[in-house]
Parts: sequence; structure tokens; C-alpha cells
Amino acid sequence: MNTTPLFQIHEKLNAKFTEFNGWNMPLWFSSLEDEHLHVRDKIGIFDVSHMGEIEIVGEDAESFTDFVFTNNILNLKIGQARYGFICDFDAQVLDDVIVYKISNKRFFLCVNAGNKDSVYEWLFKLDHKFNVEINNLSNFYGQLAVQGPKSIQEINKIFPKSNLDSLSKFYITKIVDLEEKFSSSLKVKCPNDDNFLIARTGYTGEDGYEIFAPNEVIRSVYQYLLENCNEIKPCGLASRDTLRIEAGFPLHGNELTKGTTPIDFNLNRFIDLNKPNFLGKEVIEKRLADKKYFFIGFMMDDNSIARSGYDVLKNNTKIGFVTSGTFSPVLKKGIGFALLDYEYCNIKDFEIRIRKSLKIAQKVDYPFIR
Amino acid sequence: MSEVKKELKYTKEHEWASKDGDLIVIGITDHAQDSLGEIVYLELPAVGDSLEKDSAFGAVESTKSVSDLYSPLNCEVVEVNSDAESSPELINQSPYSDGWLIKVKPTNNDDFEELLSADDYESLIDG
Repeated sequence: MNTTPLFQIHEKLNAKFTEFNGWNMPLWFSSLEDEHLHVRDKIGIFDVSHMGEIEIVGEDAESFTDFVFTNNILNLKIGQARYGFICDFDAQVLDDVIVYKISNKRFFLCVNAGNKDSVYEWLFKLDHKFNVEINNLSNFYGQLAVQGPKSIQEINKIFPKSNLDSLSKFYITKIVDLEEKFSSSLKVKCPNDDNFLIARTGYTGEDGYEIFAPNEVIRSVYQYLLENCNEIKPCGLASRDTLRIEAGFPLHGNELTKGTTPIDFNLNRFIDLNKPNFLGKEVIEKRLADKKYFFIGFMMDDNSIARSGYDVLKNNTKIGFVTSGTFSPVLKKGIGFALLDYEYCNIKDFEIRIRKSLKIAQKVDYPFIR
Repeated sequence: MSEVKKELKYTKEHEWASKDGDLIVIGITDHAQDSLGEIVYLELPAVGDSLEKDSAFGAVESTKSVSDLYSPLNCEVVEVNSDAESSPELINQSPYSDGWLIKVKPTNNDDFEELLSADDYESLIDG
């Protein structure tokens, strides 16, 4: 199993570990609930070094990225980030990614741990007609997510030279402070010299930052943040999952599965159909005219918990299944997402089979909080 | 380190069993509650239900995951811990006493003796 450079620090912090996409990752340090609520109230730090980083560089970087990505790339400003999908020819999602525009000729992609190789191979296969180079930087970069309402003031204080006060949500910039501190001693440098990047993005529904730093020094960066940010707590993948469910974010593999398209998950706003062409566009347009699925958020009536894969029923007929489900630490209720047959798009309540019994759930709007 | 009580019997599914006169009290081990994390939901059988050895009789759920409960013996349920049903955190706080799950009447007296000893269980969770 793979480990991140922070594994030994996590062990010392008494983390409980879990296997995730071939990586031995911290599940929690104190407890899921404690870490979840701490991120909602204060500030938490996640080791997400298992995630992948891929860059598209060259004369045609902009047009190529716009072609392989469902959302608009051409109207991005330098430093701006955009969420969207990399689809195959059938509009199945190979991965949901954030694309960062570093310059007119350089786009930086943050991809899921389990998909970094398949996305890289896919882009590599497609790039022949374009003057671009695809670099998989996943082994170079580690990644930290610092999330929570206190993260802005704490991180801005720690990196005073990086001008983070003017970094808007969904933008990325260099961490000048870390570049000055470490870059002369780095054994391996990023091919484009952006060794330290910080983006105001995240996966928790809270404000916060995602930090990209070379694996060889990420231990020092992590320790430094743990020691110098007030009230910061290390957090694991368990709370990362419950935070993203409460925030209404999909997870590739639970949502966005084979045989589906992004519109089946109500993600149309991350698809720019005004673009003349992009991979998967035709299939998505066909699917819009002939919808198969309806994606909803739900909440259990009682205190039971529906989980991924459980059947959804109406009048004893199976009408769909749960894609993600958990117990919301904020709402203290079972919540989740379900993918239903489109004919049930007006449904308000239904049953979910939990072991031997049928439990009533209500369709509710998501995000589940705020 | 998880606590393993010497005087109890165990299963490889991480339940414990203890004699209380003619009856047997069943719960989950300290190791099990620690692996699950904070327990938020408990599903128990009804009083009077007949349970077959090794069959699922309920479930214990944390926010992160769900774990089926398996009956250590052939038995009939005579009492369930309704305090633990309404306050499942009792299982985390006190897995071997206040967080017990069900009290049963065994229908085959040999079943209890065949359960794992504390030493066997300890080597199971250490391995």
C-alpha cells in the first residue's frame, strides 16, 4: 500500500488508518464527529497527498483543456479555478477535477487519487492534434487541505509575503514565503518552477485553502502549520467524506459512476453547452432530451442511516439506490443522495431498505447545511 | 490498546458473552467499539425472538460504518438494553457493562463453552 510522506507524523499523532484507493490514509485522529465539527467551526488540516496533479502545457494548452473539459476554460482569468468533468466519448465521467489556469499556456489539474493514471493516459492519448505536453506531477506534489472559517485569517498570517488577502475564492497563487524558505534546498524542482501553490478551494463546504508543495518538504510544511495556526486540528478521510456529503458535493465512484453522465447527477451548471465542442457533448445533449435518472438529496424520518448501495423503493417497487449516505454530525440525522429512475422526478417521500426493514425518507434540498 | 476482560467469552465477530445465572449477556468488545468510532445507531431484535448461532441479529452503526451483530449462540432473546438503543454512545463509553446489548436464554448449553477464551480473542485482535 502507498503511504504519503506524512505517514510517520500521522502514526505519532495516533491516527486510525484506512485503505483508500491503494493508499494507507488517516481515517481520524480524535474522532470523526470531533474533526467534522471542528472544521465547521474553526480550522482543520487534511493530508490529501494521495490526490493527483497533472499539468497541460504548451501553445495549444488552452484549446486542448477546453476540448477535454466540460466547463468553460476560454473565459478563465489567470489564476482562476473551475470545477468540471473529464468525460470519455460516451460522456461517462473519467474524473471530476478542478482546473487552475496558471498562465495562458499552462493549466494545472487536481485529480482524484484513484483516477490520476487513467486521466493522464486519456489526455496523453488525445493530445496528438494539439501542441501540448501533458505532465503527471502526482509524484512530485503532496497536498494539504486547510479548511474551516478560521483558515483564512490563520493562513494569511502565516504566509505574509504571499498576498493572500487579495486571493478570491476559486483562485490560485504562489506561496512566496515557502518558495523563499525551501526552493534553494529542493533536490527536485517542479519543471515549471511553481514548487509551492495555494488555492482558495476545498471539498468541505467551508472557506479554506488547498496547498500544493513538493513531497520532499511537505513534512516540514505540515508540522509548521500544525504548530503555528491557532486551534488547528489534524483531520482524516472519514470527516472529509461526511463534510462533503453535508455540503452536497459528489464523489467520483459513488456518484458519477460508469453508465451515467454528469447531467444524471444534476451537475449541468458545470457543463458549458454553449461551447462549440467538447468531449462528451453530443451524448450529453442526447441525454438531456431523454433523461434516464433523477438525482436527489434525502433525509431519514427516524434516526436510521442509509448507506451507499441501499435500495430505494416506492410502493414495493425498486425505483433507485442510495449513492452516498451517512449520519450528519451537524444535523444529527441520516442524510444522503439517491439516483432514481427519471419517472419518479416528482416524488416527495419514499422508503429505503435498511437490512430487513423499510425506512421512510423525505426528499430534501442539498447542500444539507446552510 | 483495547481492553479484553479475562472472565468473558468472545467471538471472532468481536462480540463478548457472559453468564448471568441461566442467562447469557451479549455485547460488543472494546476493540469493536474503538474500530467503529462514535456509535450513533443501534438495531436490536425483539424480546422473544429466536436467534441462530452465527446469524445476524442486529446492527451497530457509527457515522462512518455499519457492523452487523452475530449471535454467539442458539438462543431466545429475553431482554434488550433499551438504554443503549436510545443512547448508543453507552456502547463506546462502557462496552462491557452499561453498553451491553441483549440478554438471552441459550437453547444449547454447549454453545457457550465453545466460544473463544480471552487469550484466544486477544491473539485474534493482535494478529
